[in-house]
Amino acid sequence: MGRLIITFLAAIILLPGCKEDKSTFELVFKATYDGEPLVMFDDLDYKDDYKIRITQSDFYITDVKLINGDSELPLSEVEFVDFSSFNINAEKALEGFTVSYDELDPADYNQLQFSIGVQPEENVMKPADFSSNNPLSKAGYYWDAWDSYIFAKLQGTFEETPGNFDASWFFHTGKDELLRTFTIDTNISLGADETSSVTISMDHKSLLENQDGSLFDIQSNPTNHDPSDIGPIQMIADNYLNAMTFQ
Amino acid sequence: MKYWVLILFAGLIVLPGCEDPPGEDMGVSLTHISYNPTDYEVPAFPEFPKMEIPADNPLTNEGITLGQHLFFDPILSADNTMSCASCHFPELAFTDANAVSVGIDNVAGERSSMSLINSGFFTTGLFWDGRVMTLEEQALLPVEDPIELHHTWPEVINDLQESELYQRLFREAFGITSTSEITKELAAKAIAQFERILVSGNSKFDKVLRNQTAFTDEELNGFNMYFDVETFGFETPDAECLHCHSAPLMTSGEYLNNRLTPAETLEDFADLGRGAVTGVPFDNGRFRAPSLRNIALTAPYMHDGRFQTLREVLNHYNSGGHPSPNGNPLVYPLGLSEEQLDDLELFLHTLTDTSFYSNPYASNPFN
Ligand code: HEC
Ligand code: HEC
Repeated sequence: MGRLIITFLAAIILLPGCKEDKSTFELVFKATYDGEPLVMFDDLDYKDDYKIRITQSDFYITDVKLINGDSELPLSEVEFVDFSSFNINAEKALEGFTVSYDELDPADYNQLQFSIGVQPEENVMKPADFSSNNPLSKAGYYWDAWDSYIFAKLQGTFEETPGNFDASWFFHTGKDELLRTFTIDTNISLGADETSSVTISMDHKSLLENQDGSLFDIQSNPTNHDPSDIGPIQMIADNYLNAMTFQ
Repeated sequence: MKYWVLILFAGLIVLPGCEDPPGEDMGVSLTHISYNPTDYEVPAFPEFPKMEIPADNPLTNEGITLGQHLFFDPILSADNTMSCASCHFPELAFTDANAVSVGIDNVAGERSSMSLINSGFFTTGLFWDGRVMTLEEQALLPVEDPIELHHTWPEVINDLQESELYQRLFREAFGITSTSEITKELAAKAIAQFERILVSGNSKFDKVLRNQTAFTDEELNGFNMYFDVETFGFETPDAECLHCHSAPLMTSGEYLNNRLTPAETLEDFADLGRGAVTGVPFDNGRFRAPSLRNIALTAPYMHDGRFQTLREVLNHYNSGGHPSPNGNPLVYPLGLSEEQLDDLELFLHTLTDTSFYSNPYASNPFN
């Protein structure tokens, strides 16, 4: 009788184990500045003669997928990576903004692919076309003058005189030509009942670099204002690749 | 003496004179009133997002009628003097013309009443600070708020259960079978239904976009500044309004600091706004960018009603506002001339749409 009960109990415990074992994959985004965790509103060394603060950094990633040769696993069409409201202290900055995909079939992949920006198919639409649970419904991320979503907002303040951070800067990227797609070679093994992850660190100082390695002169050119002059924001879009490291 | 006994007897017979079996509940049966709810279709505007209506609270004419009565009925206040409409007047696009609202005890709150027009479309939180997410949740609050209706729900429910009018309206709206099923949750659902039908999307601005009419030169100039439009040969400065007051609802729904208050640190705000809700210091002094639809009808302006006129608002933005650690970069000195400010103001007037007045539900049913 005792045996019976034990067998019964064992069965109850083991039963759920008979279900198909699924896997979880996480994308962890960490914002850094000069290699250190980036906390919004912290004073940051910038040029020799002035400091800056970053008060907002967020962006769309789209067409996220895992690849192995001809086989692809689409993970999501669009996500909004929101350092602005996440990186409120060093602890959070170290932890990283995490996007999680579960219920995946176990398999091995050797590439991760995603774009920063909105795909052209979606970029002909407007926020009102999406329901509120879709990040593309954000009305503040569409610019009619561009006929485009704002792909990324990067903004902050800078010192005009030492210790005085009253002046602001902002660079908002957008338009189809600034969409950038990244394919990262990395072995990702989705194991049954396991969580695997890729950590993407984005260094914000590198985002603000000119081609020659010098930093943007934010004091004299604090915004990308004229929709026809995409100089600084093109630079930011081109800087993503070097600004990101993958683990 | 005999009379006495008779009356007592009569009382005993009549009192439970409702059909419900005794002991089950104390309510009055309502099943003799017919229950045939009819769907209500919210007017749709092509540019607008689809309104997200909770599956458990579909719009019906009967639900809206009930909500309309509750909204305009002082029965919701402790001393029977005030209703929701006392701070949300239909003719003021459902605001109250006060800098800050005053409740039944003549105690002034800290915040200005908000327009309820198009609130069914807002998905990023309600109130200036976004402390509730749904109209259903919101509708529960004013009744017990000490600086608003300062009543208690049990007492309100008691009054509603005893009112023949509300017995009928609740039955017709929700099919309840007994007065004991009249609850604050159902009252809130009905009020939310009423609010969802207060939509506005037929302003001159909308009609111009639909090619049904045209702006004057001045309005067009204002439009170009508002939306940062670059026009060849007719250059206007950018006023940046669109980034925070985005089309079609004329709000981005975001919580931002538009530099109303000079602040050296993030603690220097009399009203912490969003920060009091999230507990994040960067959110201090941030408020929801409100919709600018019908803005000409809703003076005074801002969360504390500090500006009496639209011109004062425009002067604020033109000045670049006050320094503040989390002041938004898009508020900076615009350098607009008086004439350009005139044009921007004329454009803001094209956002007025009084067509919702013609909706029979948008008025006081007791008049
Ligand atoms: C004493 C005046 C007063 C009364 C009475 C009152 N309100 Fe309000 N209402 C306000 C004020 C002030 C605010 C903004 C408060 C804040 O942000 O903290 C507001 C905000 C709202 C909002 C949020 C709108 C938005 O866009 O976020 C809704 C909805 C609302 N009220 C509905 C109601 C309903 C329904 C009632 C009756 C049950 C009611 N109000 C009674 C003054 C009042
Ligand atoms: C950075 C974002 C931002 C920009 C740019 C901006 N606003 Fe605002 N606006 C806000 C916020 C946030 C509020 C609410 C602030 C408060 O009450 O504390 C507001 C409030 C208002 C109000 C008062 C609304 C009411 O119901 O009381 C008006 C009117 C207004 N803005 C007009 C404009 C105009 C016109 C422009 C362009 C010149 C503009 N805004 C630019 C964010 C912005």
